[in-house]
Amino acid sequence: MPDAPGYYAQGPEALIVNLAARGDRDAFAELVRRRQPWLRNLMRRLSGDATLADDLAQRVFLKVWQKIRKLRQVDRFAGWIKQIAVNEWIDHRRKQGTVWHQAYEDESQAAPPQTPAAAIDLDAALATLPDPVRTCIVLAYHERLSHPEITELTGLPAGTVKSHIRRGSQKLRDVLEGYGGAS
Amino acid sequence: MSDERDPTLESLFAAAEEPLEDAQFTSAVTDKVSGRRRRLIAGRLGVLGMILVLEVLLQSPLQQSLGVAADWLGRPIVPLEGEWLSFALSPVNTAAGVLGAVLLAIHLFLRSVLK
Repeated sequence: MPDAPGYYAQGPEALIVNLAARGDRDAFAELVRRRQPWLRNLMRRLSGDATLADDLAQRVFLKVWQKIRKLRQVDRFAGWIKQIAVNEWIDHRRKQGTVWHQAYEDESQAAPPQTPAAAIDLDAALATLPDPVRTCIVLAYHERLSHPEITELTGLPAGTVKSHIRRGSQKLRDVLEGYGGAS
Repeated sequence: MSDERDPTLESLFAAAEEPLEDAQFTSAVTDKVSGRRRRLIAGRLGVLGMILVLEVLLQSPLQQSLGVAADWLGRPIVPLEGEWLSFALSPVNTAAGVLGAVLLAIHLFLRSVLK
């Protein structure tokens, strides 16, 4: 019999998802191996904190393991796990006291770093945006989702999503230009 | 507004993508899955054990209580001579019969009031 992890590494994702849904833990481990860079990067852009991002990503995978038996269409796995990830992020921020449907006028929740000489990266610039705005921006640019897809994932009204992306992009450009990050 | 994206921001997001090492993260997730499974099995075994212990402990008192209740409910209110007469009147001449009649009366009363 071939070595299970090596064997799974070559299998198509639909097959691996199917096997994981039947309780195969090696198949689930392979799914984690395949999806973890994407999920951890997504969580890093959303949270701006590598440790928190990994913790959230682990929670998402645990939920995937708990719920994967109920996944009827294995070809929808990518969208399904994305929905779980976004829900996990929104739940986490709600527990931290974020009012999810707040207006953009609430302005930034984290002040931009004071020293232009500091190593300003994208995550630091994203941290200057309010949670719902940052989430819309990350889903639009990191995930390359359309506005209707973001509306569906976040539960925010379509007009709010458009406004968050338009004004969030502008703010992000301003912050990054301030540090010579985007020109 | 269309879904058009700012190319500068797009390239920044692409550049921020990190190739993340997987072995440690994957084993942490699979360990948690195994731990959760072990806790679930241990929890189920614990509940099963408690049920068995409670059954053993309460078997005798429960049986005794049920026996006393059945005896009390079946006892004639007015002692009657004759086995057949006592049997024929038992629906109205026992605590169970009276209790049943009272419950039926309450039910009929409520039904007529709430109609």
